[in-house]
Amino acid sequence: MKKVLMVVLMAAACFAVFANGSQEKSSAAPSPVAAPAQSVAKIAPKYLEDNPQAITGTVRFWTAFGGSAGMNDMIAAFNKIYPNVKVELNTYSNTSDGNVGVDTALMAGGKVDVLQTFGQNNTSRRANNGLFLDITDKLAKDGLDVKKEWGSDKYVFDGKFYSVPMGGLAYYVAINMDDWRKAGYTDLPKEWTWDEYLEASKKMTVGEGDKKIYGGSDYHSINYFTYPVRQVKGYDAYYKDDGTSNFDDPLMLEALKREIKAEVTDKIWFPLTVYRSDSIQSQVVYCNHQVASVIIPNVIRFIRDTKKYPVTWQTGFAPYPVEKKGQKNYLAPVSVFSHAAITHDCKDMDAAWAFFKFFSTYGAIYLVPAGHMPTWSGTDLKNAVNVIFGSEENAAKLVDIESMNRVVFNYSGDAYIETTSKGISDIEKIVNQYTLDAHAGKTTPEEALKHMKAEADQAIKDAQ
Amino acid sequence: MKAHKDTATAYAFLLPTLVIFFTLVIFPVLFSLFLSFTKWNFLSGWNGIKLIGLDNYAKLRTDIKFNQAVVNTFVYAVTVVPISIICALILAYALNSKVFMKNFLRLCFFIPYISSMVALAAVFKYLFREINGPINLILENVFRLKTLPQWFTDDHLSKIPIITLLVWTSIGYELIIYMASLQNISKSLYEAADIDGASAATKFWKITVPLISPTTFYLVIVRLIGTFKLFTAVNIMTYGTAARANTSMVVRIYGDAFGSYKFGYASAESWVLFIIILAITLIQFWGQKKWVHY
Repeated sequence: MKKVLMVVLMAAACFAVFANGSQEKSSAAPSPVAAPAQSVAKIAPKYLEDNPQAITGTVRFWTAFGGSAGMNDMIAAFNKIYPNVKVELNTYSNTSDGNVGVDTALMAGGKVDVLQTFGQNNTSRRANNGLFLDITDKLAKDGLDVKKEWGSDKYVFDGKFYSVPMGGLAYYVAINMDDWRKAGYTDLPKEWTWDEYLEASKKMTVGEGDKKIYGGSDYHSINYFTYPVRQVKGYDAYYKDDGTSNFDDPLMLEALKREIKAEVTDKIWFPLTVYRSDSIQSQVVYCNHQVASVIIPNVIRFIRDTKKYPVTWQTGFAPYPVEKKGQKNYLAPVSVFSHAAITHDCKDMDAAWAFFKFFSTYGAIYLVPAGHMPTWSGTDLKNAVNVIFGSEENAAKLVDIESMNRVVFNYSGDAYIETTSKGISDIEKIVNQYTLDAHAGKTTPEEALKHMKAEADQAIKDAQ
Repeated sequence: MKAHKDTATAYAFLLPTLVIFFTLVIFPVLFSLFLSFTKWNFLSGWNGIKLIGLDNYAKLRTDIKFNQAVVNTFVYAVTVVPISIICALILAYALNSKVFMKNFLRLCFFIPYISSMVALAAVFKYLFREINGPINLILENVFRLKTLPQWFTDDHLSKIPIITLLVWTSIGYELIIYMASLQNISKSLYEAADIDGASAATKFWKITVPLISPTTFYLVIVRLIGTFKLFTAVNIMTYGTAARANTSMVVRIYGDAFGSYKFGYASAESWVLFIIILAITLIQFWGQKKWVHY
């Protein structure tokens, strides 16, 4: 019955699916030769299926990353071990339209076997509606402890595992080292406060008009003013423990005021209103040298692409700023952002399970070229620089390797997690609307947050 | 007997079309009416449909964002339709006489109409960029404006780029229709007016305007319906800006359905839109008796 409904909906929603012009399909054909014994030997037995060469079938793998962003290499590495499994890569756009396409494909059935899904909202929505396979028993059978392997066992739905949190993001400040030195700085900070970052932004701000280089910038997403709450609280920044929204947290107000002051009053950060009205993104203004530094989670993905972004400077990395020195920084280590899951109507289960395990463990290192981070505890990050840049020599031209290893590949300590997403799509719209109103001077930050609190509480109530 | 057989044969030929019509038109329309009385997230399947009576419609009355979208859509309708029709009529009138490169000019005006709205909206979004946008560069360097307009984030200005684009793309079609209509007016009427000593303005108001009034009526109806269904231009030009001052009803409906997965609520919004369009069209048909001359 569900399928009949979806056939009709597929037709109705075809605009959403076909409008997604960025979908990319490619197929990595299985190698006809047997897997090299050495590759198999490197993998610990619990991550490997018995007799890999006997496993056959096709895996339809959907992710937001293109083949050239590491996925072709990942599939090639998988096929060295499982030569008789064909992996079909389908790259979708991780936007609201792109995710409607994914949901429609999942509901229609027979199109997706393994999915990399991004964000708590998309993941929980799919798991809660039975679109993912319950993998609790399969994980237990293979001796895979989710907390031990991927750092967190909080991502359960009805007490069961439907996905593993295998991908993450590191939040940091990317700094143009030429501008940093011109401003009189030498060493990159190992810990710094917002006041110190604002001071550095002020010193690095130069020029006027269209020649102006802003010293700093928050990320282009509108909700980034709420990230200091993530840094301090460590979990569920939008929600209080009593289930209501958290927009009356004093830190929300302080962070919003700080952002507006830096952008509108002091003009030392690139303005959010321009990011939004001109549809430009942080990596673009950083690579175009319109800013000297930027808070960003994935700049590596862009600076490694020297053809598209031919930057002439070295990028250094400083940790996400804190409110006061010595404060626990939940945004310093890599935080979970993406999950791998097997779909409810997966066709070749053995092949899909083998691929799922490989992608979530040894294959997760190939997320790094896309600017995302593996969360698997067994990841060999010594090789990450080579995976991203080809060699240490190439890397040194573009990045400060020491600070990158210390800040971007940081897995020490507790990271921010999200365990709920009630009414999240409405909350995001509410945050976007009132944050921009406050930035544009249509309302005060206090009034904006008052509206956010009232409307987000209602959105949570409606979602329940 | 033969009549029955002919009827059966006719229905057999009609069947494929009827199946498509009922599946893709009648069923979705009736299903959306049913959904407007429910709360439904499509991922939950049939079992997830929850009847809630008139709650969605009651909520719409107090939904500030939807009401703002309704107001915005009316603003687009009452600006785009008259401006584009007046511009098209003036251009058609001018091009109807002997004009140098008449066909080329007609083609130039028609090209925006047949171009992709997605591409045009992207171009207009670029033209109205705040930093290094061509329009702001002209305002800064030619007109020496110190404070440059924020076209997409200033509530007072944010409709202007969209209205400009819509007028520009509408003119081509309206121009062609008007030119065809103007060529159908008998020259003898103008010759008779000349003999009576009528001025050019008199001929325009007393002969041209009444005789093309059925065309004007057709264009007003078609354009109003089109403007109420406005989606692509607004969706592209306001993408990522959390627009409220310049969003349209259909963009709002799309966001609620495919962004928030509130299919019941979005269906109720769609039916409100349908009722508005129907009401306006009926008023137009009632009013045309007073100004349209057949």
